[in-house]
Amino acid sequence: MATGTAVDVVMPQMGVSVSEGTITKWLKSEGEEIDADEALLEISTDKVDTEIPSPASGVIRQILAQEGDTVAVGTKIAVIAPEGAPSGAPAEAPPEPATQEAADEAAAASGAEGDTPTIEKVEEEPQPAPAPAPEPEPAAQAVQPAQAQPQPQAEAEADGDGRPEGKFISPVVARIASEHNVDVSQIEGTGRGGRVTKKDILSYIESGAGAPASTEAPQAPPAAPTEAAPQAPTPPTPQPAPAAPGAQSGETLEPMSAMRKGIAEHMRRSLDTSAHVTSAIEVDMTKIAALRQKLKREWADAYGVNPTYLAFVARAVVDTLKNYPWINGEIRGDSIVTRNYVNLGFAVELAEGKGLIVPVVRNAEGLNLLGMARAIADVAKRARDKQLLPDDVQGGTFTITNPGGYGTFHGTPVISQPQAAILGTYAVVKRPWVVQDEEGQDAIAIRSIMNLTLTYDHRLVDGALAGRFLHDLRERLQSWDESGE
Amino acid sequence: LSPWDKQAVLESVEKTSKALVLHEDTLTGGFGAEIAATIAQEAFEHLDAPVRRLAAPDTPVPFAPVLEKAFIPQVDDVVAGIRELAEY
Repeated sequence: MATGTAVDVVMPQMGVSVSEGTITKWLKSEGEEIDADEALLEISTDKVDTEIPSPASGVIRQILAQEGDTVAVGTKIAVIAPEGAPSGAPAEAPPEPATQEAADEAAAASGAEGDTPTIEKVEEEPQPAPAPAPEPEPAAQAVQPAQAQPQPQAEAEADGDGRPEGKFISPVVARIASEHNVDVSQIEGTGRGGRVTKKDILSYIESGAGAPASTEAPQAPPAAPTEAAPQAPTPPTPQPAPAAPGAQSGETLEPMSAMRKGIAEHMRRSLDTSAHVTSAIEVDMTKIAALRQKLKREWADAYGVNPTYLAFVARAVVDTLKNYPWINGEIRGDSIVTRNYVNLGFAVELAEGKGLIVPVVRNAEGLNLLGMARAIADVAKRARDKQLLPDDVQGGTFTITNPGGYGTFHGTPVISQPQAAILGTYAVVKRPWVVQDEEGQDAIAIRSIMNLTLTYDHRLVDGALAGRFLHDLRERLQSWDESGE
Repeated sequence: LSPWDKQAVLESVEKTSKALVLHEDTLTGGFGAEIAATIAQEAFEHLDAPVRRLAAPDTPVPFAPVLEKAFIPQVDDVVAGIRELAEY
């Protein structure tokens, strides 16, 4: 591709985890001449802002992405026609290797033709740009053995002429991958241009990093990581979905319910999504305990509702959240969502510990203590009776989980996605507590103490913010107005 | 050239996943093309690299001994070819 063929300029990969870049400025325009290594454009990624040098000398035939566009790594953004070539000769389709030599090179480079800019990058800047090395251009020969990083994104789709846009996967690797249900993009390639070789995939599978072990032990380890592996040419037996091992002696198997699977998936996803951090605070509930005793009798007669500690906490949470919109918010893409309402979720255990559901009390900011107590009782009852409607479990903005009923005093709940935080309420227990008497002297008193934990997504909520939230919540609970609201 | 040991070739490809076909004949229309085609057709799913041919260039055999030597693939060519294939 040194001469005669147009060179594609693609968005280079500026870091292992960088998957896209934004074009901030084109330093050249269509029709202008450019020398190899001359700055062609400026890009901005979430890691670095940098200039991209031209991969070749010639005339800029076409600019395919405009300033301000954000494009995925590997996307073609411009075409440079070599010097001497008539710039207006689009008949010579750029990606088509025109000569036998070019065709060989293209095959060898595994479609890595677009990576040229990244290569020059490696030579000039200490960027950890993973440069797929092999380039037909002689100038690039020096960096031939550079270790290319496999792109984390699967980009194996072929383009129009069947050439893979991303990493080339050889037939034998494709076959082994499909037999063992392995995602090739997860494997670090050691072949030319970071290509995953047969050896790579075999040692990957042997290391057990790949798919769940296949059911047939004898065939599972294709073994022999050496290149001359005497891998028997066994006819590829299509493996059924890898079944888990059956019950051993003394074990009982029961199928997972859809709810259990849903919980499992959601919990795992939540931990994979949010940066969970938990802060805890001790709250003196003595005042509320007394008030609760009083209200219990009144409410039982008048409304048939029990003023639970949870109702008090929920009421105080809703008020406190007004001053902490991020804790009532969520991360949506690159934006932070805040709201002028609180949809309060309550984690409710279903019968026999077989599951958990989080019904939502909508617009909880409009409920007084009585309304809150009623709403909680209502959703909890409907949850246990399986009377919840789909709307009842959606749209929560903050969740309270109450595992304290069994006497636990601390926990680290998992955030209900996509919310930013979850409050845990724990057992109210009587403790010897240091208080100040009327003269300002320290004294030990018996107080009703409850632990509250806030587990928050540290991506959005910092520790100090969570601490202030818990502090305010405690103040609100400890200085509860006697009037009952 | 018939029969040729197709089975041995295919077994070798299944084992190593790579193949280099070498002959003294010119590249185009040489017997190596037949072997390469057979490998591509019958052992495609075992290939980890393109089948490589090493042969004489597409010219008449030169008369001068030095040129004749340059014409025919030499040990160094084979070594280089194998290395390149191994590194692929």
